Order: sequence, then C-alpha cells, then structure tokens
Amino acid sequence: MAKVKTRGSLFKLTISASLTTIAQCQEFSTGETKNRTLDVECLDDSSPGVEMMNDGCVTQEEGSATLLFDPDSTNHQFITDSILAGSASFPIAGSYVFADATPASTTFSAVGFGFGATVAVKDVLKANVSVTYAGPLTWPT
Amino acid sequence: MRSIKTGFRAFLDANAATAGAPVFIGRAEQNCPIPFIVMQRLRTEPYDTLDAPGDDSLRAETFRVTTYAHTDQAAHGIADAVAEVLDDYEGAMGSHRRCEAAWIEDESGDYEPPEYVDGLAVADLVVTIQHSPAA
Repeated sequence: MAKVKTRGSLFKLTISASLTTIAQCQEFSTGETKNRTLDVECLDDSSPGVEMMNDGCVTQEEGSATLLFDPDSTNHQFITDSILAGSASFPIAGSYVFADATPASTTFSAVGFGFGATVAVKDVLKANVSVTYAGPLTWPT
Repeated sequence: MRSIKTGFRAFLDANAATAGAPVFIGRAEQNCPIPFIVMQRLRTEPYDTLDAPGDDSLRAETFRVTTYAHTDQAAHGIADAVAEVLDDYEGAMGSHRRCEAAWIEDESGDYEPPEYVDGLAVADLVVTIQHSPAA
C-alpha cells in the first residue's frame, strides 16, 4: 500500500484529438461509481437490519472540478464552447490522472458539461465544472 | 521573490501616509525614532493548482501593521492614513511584485480602550494584498 499525494493529479479532456490537461484545476471529484441496490425489506422480516439486494446495474455520479478560471484560456473555453454547441461536440473522451508512481488513471466518456463562474470579493476568479458521463468510469484493476 | 513583504515595507516607508515613521519587519530596531511601524506577515495563500503547484502568478499575503506612537491619537492617526492609502490600492509595490488588489481586513477601533505596549500607544491594521510578479 502506498499513500499518494494529490499534487500533480490531472483532469484531462480530448481537445483537437489529443488528451489535454485542463489547466489551473484546484480540485476535482470523479463522482461515485456505484452498484444499484434495491431495498427488499419485507413487512414480516423480524431482523432489525434493512435487507438490500444488488440488481446487477452500475450507476455513475457526475464528476466535478474547480478551476481558477481564466476567461482567455483556450482549454477553459473548450468546455463552454462544447456546452454551447449542444450535442454536436459530444461524446468527449477524458481522463483523471493520479499522482502515483505509475501514474494510474481513470478514463471516461463525457456526454455533457456544466460550467459556472464564481466571483467573490477577496478571492480569485473560479469556475465550477460538472461532467456527466456516458457510463461508469474505468478504474485501475 | 515570491513574497511582497520587502516591497510592501519599502512602499509604506516611502509613503506620505506614514508621516516619516520608519517601517520595520518583525520587530523595531532598538532606540528607533517614535512613532514607528512594525509589520508582520500573518498568512499566505498561494492559490495552488493540481497541475501547476509552483505557479506564483497570483498570491495573497496578509500582514498586521502596527503603529507605535506616544499617544493613542497619533497611533490611530497614522494607522488610519495608512489604511486610506492601502484600501483598494493597485499598482507598484517594490521591484519584485505588483499589488493587484489590497483590502483592509481589520482595524483596531475607537471603541476599544487605548492599548499601550512598553509605554507606547499602538494601533493595529490587518491588510491582505493580492500580488503578481512585477513585469
């Protein structure tokens, strides 16, 4: 087991056919890859535990990232340009690269983005990005 | 140089708002003229990012600026004048870094009882400066 630093982790999207680091990313969250489960607790079940079952499907939560937003950055503009192009730009392949020795990564196919700027006095200009995936992320195995 | 500390000291030292009071970093020289000003850096915020953690294109530093004078009125007078100059200042600040934005976080107020240190009245000012490398 190794403890892995986060500095050097990268959020990448395919821009002009090559995986490109989205610059000035302060943090990202991949979202949870989850088994879909059902509550199958019955009225006559005397056990205090709630009985659950796995229905065989895998769900994927949205990813998110916080950027130090540069309105003049072409790769920040790529995200907003893709949104405003409607469905024409998607799907867009991307990856999250971790800062371990390998380095390991998880890849995804994005079918939509969200983008909003945060402007607060006494702070630096930031933007929140959300990523909706076509399906579950691929994780290192 | 990633800190604006020395540039900020030079800026204050040369500014008319300080009324000629010498400005020191950390602690004052022994037997220095009165009034005088001591500044201390309280914290820094480097705005690090995952992909470029060493990027110093914009940083923030917070300083406490303490004015020492014979009277409470004199100490507050200089502190108020310094606050007036610093609040919303944008421009040169030393040769290494440029002040992009400055704002006053806190000032010791008139409602507080006068504070004396070693027989001298003191007035505190806390200021945060966002700065980038000088061109």
